[in-house]
This record gives sequence, structure tokens and C-alpha cells, in this order.
Amino acid sequence: MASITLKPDTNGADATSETHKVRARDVNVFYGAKQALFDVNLDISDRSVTSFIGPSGCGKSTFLRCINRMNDTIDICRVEGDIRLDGKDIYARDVDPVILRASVGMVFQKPNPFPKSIYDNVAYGPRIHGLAANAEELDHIVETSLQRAGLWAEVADRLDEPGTGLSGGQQQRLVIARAIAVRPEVILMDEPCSALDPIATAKIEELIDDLRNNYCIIMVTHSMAQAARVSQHTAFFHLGKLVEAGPTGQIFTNPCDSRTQDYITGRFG
Amino acid sequence: MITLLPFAMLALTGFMLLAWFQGRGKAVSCADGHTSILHSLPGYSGAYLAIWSVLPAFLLLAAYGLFGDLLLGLQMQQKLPPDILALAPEKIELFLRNAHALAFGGTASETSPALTAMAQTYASHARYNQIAVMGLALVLSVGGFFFARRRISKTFRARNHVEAVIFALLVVCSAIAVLTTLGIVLSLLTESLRFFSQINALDFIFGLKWSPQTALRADQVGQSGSFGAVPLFAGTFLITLIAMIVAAPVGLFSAIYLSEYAKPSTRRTVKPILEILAGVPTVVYGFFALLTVGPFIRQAAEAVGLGAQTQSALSAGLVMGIMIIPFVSSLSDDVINAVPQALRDGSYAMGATQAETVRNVVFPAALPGIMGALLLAVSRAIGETMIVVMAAGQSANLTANPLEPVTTVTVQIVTLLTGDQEFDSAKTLSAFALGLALFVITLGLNIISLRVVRKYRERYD
Repeated sequence: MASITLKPDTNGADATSETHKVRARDVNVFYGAKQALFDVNLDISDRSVTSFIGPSGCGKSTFLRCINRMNDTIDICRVEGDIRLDGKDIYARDVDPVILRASVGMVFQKPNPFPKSIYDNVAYGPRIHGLAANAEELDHIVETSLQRAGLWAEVADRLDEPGTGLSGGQQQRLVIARAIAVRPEVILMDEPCSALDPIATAKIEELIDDLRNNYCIIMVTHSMAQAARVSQHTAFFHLGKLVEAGPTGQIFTNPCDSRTQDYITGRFG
Repeated sequence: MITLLPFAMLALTGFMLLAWFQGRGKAVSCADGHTSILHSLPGYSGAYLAIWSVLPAFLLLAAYGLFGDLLLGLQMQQKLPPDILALAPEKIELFLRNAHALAFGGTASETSPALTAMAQTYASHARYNQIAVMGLALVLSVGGFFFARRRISKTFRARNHVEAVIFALLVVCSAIAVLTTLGIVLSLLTESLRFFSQINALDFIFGLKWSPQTALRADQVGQSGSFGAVPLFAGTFLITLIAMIVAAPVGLFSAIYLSEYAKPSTRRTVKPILEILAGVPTVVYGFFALLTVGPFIRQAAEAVGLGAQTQSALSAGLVMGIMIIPFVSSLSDDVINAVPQALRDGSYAMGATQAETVRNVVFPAALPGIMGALLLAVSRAIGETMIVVMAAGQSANLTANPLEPVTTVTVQIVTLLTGDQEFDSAKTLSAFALGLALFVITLGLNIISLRVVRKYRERYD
């Protein structure tokens, strides 16, 4: 398959070709003998939101998990090809996946706060990576992370309460704050709103829109409307192949591939 | 005297099957074959009829089996000849017992014409009772059958009636468990009260010397008996502590290895092997402790200039710890596996290593269950007897030195109650007091552990 290069959206942040944060070339992924991804080539822009859409089992989550090497934790999973973050091969021998994951954060479908206090949830990453020299710095990181995640006002007076006691939407924002706290460059989101009600979803979408000014955000979603609302770029996966990628507006109004057209108009998937 | 009972039971079973088919058949015929218009499936009607045909009769027979002898005894007391009635109560009892033996083929201590006559009355009454009960059971059974059969109809709610019977059955079963426990506790309590009427409770709880040999005769010297339980409990806790020092880390770490680090194939082979440890009879651990570990510890201690004996708290504790490892590891492994993968993923996605993830996320989340596993192991260690008898000795030393022989509560209970004993001496009664104390302690442990687990659960869920 030919390489598909994403052009930044006209209403996106900036228009230079230097902004490709992630470049994937000929990525093939296997679970045991079964191939889950076929020759994926994709460039992803920095400081914008890219949505992966496609029917269940099409490989979009698998590709997402390649970008922070979460697939390494699955024994039978094998990744081939070349994925570069800022031009550096993340599957190179000298790359420690643990360090990589600090700069490529991830938010999951189901909110998964740790069974700890709200404060400890956010402080988890900074503590592990030694980002704070003392208690005040840690407090500062926790506060700014929660503020950026839009949760500070709601939890400022109960930081020592368990994170699991929050509502679903609050938990998801807590998890986003937790990811932000280690100062990542890329944030991966695997269907971040699919377990939330519409109001919580609206808040998360608002938050994602804020965050794109500082981060490269890659989001898997099943909601076409959400992809259209939040993302500047969209990539459509089908049966393990990247069918089409481009500016969101173009994908939704004028797709090149008939399969994309069919999926977006709800004819299959 | 209840020889007919097995046949009656067999007949009831047959009747039950018959009733089931009858009830089912009636339900089907009520519906003219369209079983979907019935309130309950035909099988329920069958079960309803079977229950009514058999259960009342069965209960009657069971009651007769349990209380038949008692009833017969009461009847016999009415039939006593006047000259026997005039005798002392224990003579009357002896007379009745002999008559019973003569009538039903036991060994009587004497015979007399009066006894023979009494034995005949006994036998005839037993026969009469049995026939009466059988007849009554038959009436109940047949009556129940027809009563229930008449009620089966299209709209009859057989399903709900069967449900009620199942409910009653479940209640009875749990009541048996609860009542048995209650009975054991009560018997412990009453026997302990008898003990405490002879020995001051404070001496028992706070006494520092355990030497339960009491004088058999008043003129015996030197065997005054001393019932201070502190050395026994100290020994129990010392050995339990040593066992937990061995079992808690080893069991926990092997659980973490098995659940987090081991490949699935490794786990499949290692876990069953570890669980085999739990299947080794404790007596085998006992002689392992006595013949291998004990001498080794003695030699090692002597090599560094410490006095030690073959029987020591250390060898018993070490071997008991090894015995408990599979309890801790297997239960903890299950608990750790139950921690949602999402939490691990969350931690890995933050750039945490596997060890950091285990320490900071998996372990705290699994903590309530791990506490439960550890406390189960503790109660197992406290109750363990055989290893201690063999490896730690029976001398009630009050010491914190693990190289000295000690004894535990359970071991003392065994030595107090084995062999020829009189059952009203302070010596044997003290076993009940020890059992009660042990019961109170393990109950306390359980309550504390439940509290601890609940507290953590509130924090972590």
C-alpha cells in the first residue's frame, strides 16, 4: 500500500511538514499466527487530534498500542515494521519501552484509576520517574495536572479520598491527569468516552480539544460524530488495513475510498 | 429393633418415583397435552406429588429412628413391676438395661424370671411400636398422595410449592451447621465451667507454670497440679511466629512470581507441584522435622557455641512454615490474578516497570485477599498439632528462645485426653478450658481479620 501522508487540516494549528510526530512505515502485527495489521503507513501530526475509526476488530486499537509498545506486554504479539517518534525508531534495540511509555501516555476505554487516593493516582508517574525533587514540587505537578484535566475544582478539597470513589467521567479525567503528570508528548486514547454518559463525554471532548494545543493526541473512537467534532485528522481502518487517512473534513465529506464512504454513511460496520 | 426401617425407606423411594410419574401424568392430562398452558412444568407437579407422598412419612420414620428407643424406654418405665419400682433409681436403670439386653441380644449382667418377663414386654412393645409407626407412615404416604393428586390442576402452582420445600431444606441444612457449632461451644463452655470451679480462672489465664499432674489420692505427695496456661500460649505463638516468618515471604513471593512473571506453561507445572506440599500428611512433616531438621539445627547451633536440643521451637516452626507455604501462595496467587488487567495496563502505560507495577498497584489492590490468606495460614498454624508433638516436644517451657523445646495448646490437649483418664479430674477438664481459650483466640483473630479486610476494602474499591 502506498504511504498516506496526512496534511494538517486547514483549521489545524500550523502547516509545516516538520510537525509529524509519529511516522509508521510498513507496520505488520501478528497475534500468534494471526495477522492483525497489514502494511500500515501513517504519519501523525503534532499538536492536533487524530482519530482512528473503523469497525470492531479492524486493528485500530492494535495500532494505537504499537505506538507506546503496550503490545510488548502480550506474549504472543509480534510487531514488524518501523515506527518513529520524532524520527527515532521506537522499536530500536536501545529503546527501553518503559521510558518510551513515559513520553507516550495512554488513556483506556474503561477508566482505570489505581486503588489509591486521588493525589497518589496523579503522583504515581512523577514518583516513579523522579520528576519532583521535593514534596512542594510534587504538589505542584499534581495540581497543574488536575487543572489541565479540568478536575481540580471538583477534587481540590478531597485529594486524599480514593480515586475509585469518583464518578465515571471524573475517573476518566483523573486518568488523563495521571497521564499528563509525567509530561508526555503523545497521548493515546483508546475509546476514552465509550463507558461514559453524554455529559461526561462532552467534558472529555472539551478537554481533548484543550489538550491538543500542547500534545499530539491519537484517539480510537467508535463514534463518528465524536471523530468529526474533536479531531483534525482521521484514519479509517478496515480488516487490519489502513484504508484511508486525511483531514477529518475531507474524510467525512469527500472520502476517496468507497469502503470509507460506506462506513461513514453507516452501510456496514 | 429398627430392622424394617431400610425396607421402609426402599419402599418409600419406589413410591416416590411412582408418585412423580403420576403427578407428571396428571398435569399433562389436565392440559390435554398442551403443557404450555400449565402454570408449572409437569415435572414440578410430579415433584410436588412425590414430596407429599414421601416427605411426611419419611419425617415420621426419621423421628422414630431417632426417638424410638427413648419412647420405648418411657413406655417400659410405666410397665415396671411394683417391686422393682420400689428400688433405688440406679437399680431400676440397671434392671431396664438388662431387660433391653435380654430382649435385643445384648449381654445382660444377670437374669431372673422378672427380667425375662420384662424382656418379653420390651420385645412385644418394640414390635407393636414398629408396626404402628409403619402403619402410620403408610397412611400418611397414601393420604399425602391422594391429597396432593387432587390439587394438581391446570392453574395449580406446583412450582412455588416445590420452591418452598427447597427453601425449607436449605434452612434446615444451615441450621444443622449453626446448631452443631453452638452445641460444641456450649459443651466446651460447660466443661470449662466445671474446670474453673476447681481451678481459679485467673491462675489459669495468668499462671506461668503448666504441670497438670494431679494427685489421684489425697495422700499422694508432690503432684499438686499447676494449670498456668501462659507457657502453652507462649509456645503456640512462638511456633506460629516462626512458621509465618518462613511462610509469609516465601509464599507471597512465589505467588507473585507465579501470577506476574512466570510464563503460562511454567505456571501450569509449578503451581500443582507447590500444591502437592499441601497434600503431604502432617505426620510426614513431623518426622522430617524430628529426624532431619531438628538434628541439623542442633548441630548448627552447637557449631556456633549455642546449646540446643533436637526438639526445638525452631525446627517445628520452620517445618510448619514449609507446610503452610502452599496455603499462602495458592490463595495469594488466586487473589493477585483477580486484580483487573486494566490496572496493570494503566501502570505500564505510565512507564512503570513490572516490579513497580506489582509493588505499587497490584499488591495494594490484592491486599485484602492476601491478608485473608495470611490469617488463614495463621489459624492453620495455631491449630497444627502433629508437627509440634514430634518436633517441639511436650515440655511446657516459658521461653522466647527458639532453640529450646516448647509445647503448644493443641499438643497439651492431645496429651491430656489420650490414654486412661478419669473424666472429672481437673487434669482432663483443663483440656476443655484450653480448647475454649483457643476458640476465643481464633474467633478474635477472625473478627480482627474481617475488620482489617473491610477497612482496606473501603479504601481500595
